[in-house]
Amino acid sequence: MATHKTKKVMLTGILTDNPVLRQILGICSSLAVTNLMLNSLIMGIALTLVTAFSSLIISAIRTMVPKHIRMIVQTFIIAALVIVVDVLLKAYYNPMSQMLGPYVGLIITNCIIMGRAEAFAQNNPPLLSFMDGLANGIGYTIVLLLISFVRELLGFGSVFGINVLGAGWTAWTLMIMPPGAFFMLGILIWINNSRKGAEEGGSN
Amino acid sequence: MARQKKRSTLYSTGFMIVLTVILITLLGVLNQVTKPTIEQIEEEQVIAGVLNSAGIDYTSDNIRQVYQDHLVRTSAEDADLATYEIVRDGQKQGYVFEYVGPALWGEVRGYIGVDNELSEILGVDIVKNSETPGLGGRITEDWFKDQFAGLPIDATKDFLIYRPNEGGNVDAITGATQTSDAMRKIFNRAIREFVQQMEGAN
Repeated sequence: MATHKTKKVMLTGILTDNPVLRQILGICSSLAVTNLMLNSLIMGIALTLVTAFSSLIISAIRTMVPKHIRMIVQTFIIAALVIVVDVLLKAYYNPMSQMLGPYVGLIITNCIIMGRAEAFAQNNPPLLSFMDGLANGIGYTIVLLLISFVRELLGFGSVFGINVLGAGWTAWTLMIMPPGAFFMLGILIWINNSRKGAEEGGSN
Repeated sequence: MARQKKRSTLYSTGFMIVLTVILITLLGVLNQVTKPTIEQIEEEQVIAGVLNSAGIDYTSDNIRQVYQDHLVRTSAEDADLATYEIVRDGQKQGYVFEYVGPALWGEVRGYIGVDNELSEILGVDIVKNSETPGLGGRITEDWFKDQFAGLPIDATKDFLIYRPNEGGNVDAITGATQTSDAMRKIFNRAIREFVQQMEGAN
């Protein structure tokens, strides 16, 4: 029973109710850090960890938290976790910390975390909430990697910084600029929405 | 009963205080644990920045030794902008000076190396910036920084000019016009001021 539930939660978060493509959350960073695949991957991992652990903690203390101050409590926990990620990156993966710059701190404002806390962790047991956070983080990461794969390939001719298209490739500068991100995200959402059965949730 | 208790101001305040203490303690411990590592990394970034702009090669193993052998800090320890002399075989080879200036999103800090005659840039490096990752943030990429090495200095005017403007000698970053332009202004000003300062001193 438990595994069945976990499976369902994982599938919902990653695929059927993908936070970026279906819930249209976390768009800001999906547009901002997707010009290089490595940036997207690290951002995705950071967000996944923060979402999973904030969901775990918020769910664990959900019966103790007075309802009317729950938002402050959630923000507080999320902020603390983001600082943890920021400090760990600074200490053990400094080049990435420099590359992501202000975006690490801005994980706090990513709606996915608060969204999962409110929509799921508030009403579900800790472990399941943890899995839900993990699933949504992974769903977010996959979308970021898809967007950045196309953007980096066309914009720089490389994948994860490794040149694959050769020196003769004329870079599509547009792809690494903000409009490239909007095009890619729009196309992905369009593809996802035209999948068979994807409209199911839309009619509710 | 339980519900009423949780709604009370006392309970809420107490809850927040306890949560604050727990989280602050956690962050405090983490900060203490990682502090030496972060400080060491930052110190090495400064050293690397100075060596890069002086055009001196090093490896991650001998970085501190190379720095000690070739650079003499000439500014006071608490000076806002540091200056160094580059020494090779007991001979003064040039200068490295720190610069700071405003770019698009925030302060940019780094080092510029010039030769003994103040006639040529040895190299530039950027140690701290808060430009957009992937766009303006690309000022820290080697291809951008390497363009400045070897350029002749003319402190009487803004001698660093982006191509394809007339007299252009460096390339700007596509998609990061404002950051590029800020860097050009910062470099031009920093070099002009340093040259004037050195000439004034002699």
